[in-house]
Amino acid sequence: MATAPIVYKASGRRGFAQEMAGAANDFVESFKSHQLWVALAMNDIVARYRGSMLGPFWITITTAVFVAGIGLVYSELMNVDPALYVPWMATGIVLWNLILGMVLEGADAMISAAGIIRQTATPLPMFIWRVVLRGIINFLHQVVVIFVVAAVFGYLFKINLPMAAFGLVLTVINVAWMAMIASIVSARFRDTQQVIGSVMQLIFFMSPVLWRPQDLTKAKAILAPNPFFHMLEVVRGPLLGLPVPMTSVFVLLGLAVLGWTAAFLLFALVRRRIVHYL
Amino acid sequence: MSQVDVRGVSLRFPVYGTDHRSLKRHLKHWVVGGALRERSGHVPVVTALDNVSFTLKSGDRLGLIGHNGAGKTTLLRVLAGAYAPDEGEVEVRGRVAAVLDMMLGMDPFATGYENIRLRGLMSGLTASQIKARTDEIADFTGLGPYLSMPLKTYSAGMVARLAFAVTTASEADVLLLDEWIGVGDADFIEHARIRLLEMIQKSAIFVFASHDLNLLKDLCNRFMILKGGQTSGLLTAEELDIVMAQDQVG
Repeated sequence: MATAPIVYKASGRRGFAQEMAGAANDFVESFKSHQLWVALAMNDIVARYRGSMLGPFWITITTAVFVAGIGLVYSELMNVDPALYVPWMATGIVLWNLILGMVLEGADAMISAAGIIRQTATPLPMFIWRVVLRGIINFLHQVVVIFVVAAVFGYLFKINLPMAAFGLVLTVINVAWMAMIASIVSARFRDTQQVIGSVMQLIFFMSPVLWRPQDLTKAKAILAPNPFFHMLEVVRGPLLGLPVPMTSVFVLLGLAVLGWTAAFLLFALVRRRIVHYL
Repeated sequence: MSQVDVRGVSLRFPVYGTDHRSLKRHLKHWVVGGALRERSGHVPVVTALDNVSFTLKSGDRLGLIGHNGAGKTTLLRVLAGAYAPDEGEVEVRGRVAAVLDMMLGMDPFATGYENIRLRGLMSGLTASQIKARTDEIADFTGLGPYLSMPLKTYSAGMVARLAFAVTTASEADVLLLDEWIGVGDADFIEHARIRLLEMIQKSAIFVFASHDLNLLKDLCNRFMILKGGQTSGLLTAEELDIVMAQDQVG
């Protein structure tokens, strides 16, 4: 009788190269088990809105109301024509919600999956993909608002959809490594989630979500080092029919490489330990 | 032919207590440096498995014996692939099914059918395999129309029926079982017993941790005593009796 192929193999630490290979294998396996994380993400969405009549469209409504309210008040406060301000702010808010959701929920990705992680051989990056997919689904429910605003202010046909999609992919790739790092660090140190919450709040006010970069004069230097500024730039530009700032594209490309290298190294170093953090 | 190889496996649990989990404290120690930093660097470590080695081949039914905290569940989780060993090697040839916690991944707000799907995916089945088995699982639970209702509306016994049915739905070459599961009313317990026995018979290798020595002797042909993470090595039933007798005297 032939011996069955090896289905599961694990060994003790045998140096850096082996840990890297193991981590890479976890990533590969995590893509293979897409059926599971897609199902988990869908179930998360359904679970959150179970029993509510509008379901995830509550996000749509919340965003729409927010855009209308803030648009009315802030365009006057900042003394900008609503036709310019509302589209700017609407795209900003929708994007920010995507970023914030993924980072905050990313911080909870491993912790909330503790039960599964402790008992099965699930490849851990899977739980990041689950959070990312969840974020994208939520985002798709809000994107309607952007198009409605575009129709109202008459620039619907100026939207450069392919470029916007490209910018969005760049953004999600970058937010995903942040979520990965956040998930590991917050599993180890439980107050990380609070820290991330406060930091993201500060970044929100310091990023051009509600305000426009051109309104800054003296403090303009704070924009360039802010990765979220570049994310906003690459998606917002094409959505508003403006040219895409190539600098931001390159910054995000570079950041994606650096960030994923860091996230991968961190994962390779502690992947054996994560189950014990939980 | 399935096979399980465990070679010199050691596993140490770092115990991340509340004292160690706080980022603030960690950073503070780091900043303060010196003596404090040294002290904070030590996370208490428990050795859960200490140089464990054994090989199981098709037909082997291994019973794990030991007090609470002896390492039985830890060993099962290592075999299931949840814990990676710190030293040594684990190699499993054949599909593993681990029945460690029946309630794994059960969502109280999802319906019975949705739970069947989620749990199936978690135990490594594909969507189409689950679809093919759903009727059989549904049938076994005997819950009928209730399967379209959310789990939270179920009684404890109904939840157990569903959990048991899904848990035992996947076929495995290597079956890991942590304690015997007896659930539901008398009628269902008998059903469950038969199904579990079938599953054990169908498996090539069976590893069973239990406190019930008689049950272990009924179901297993190899035994291993765990004590503080160390093992006795594989024993036959006769050897087990001798060791246990010596233990009583000693």
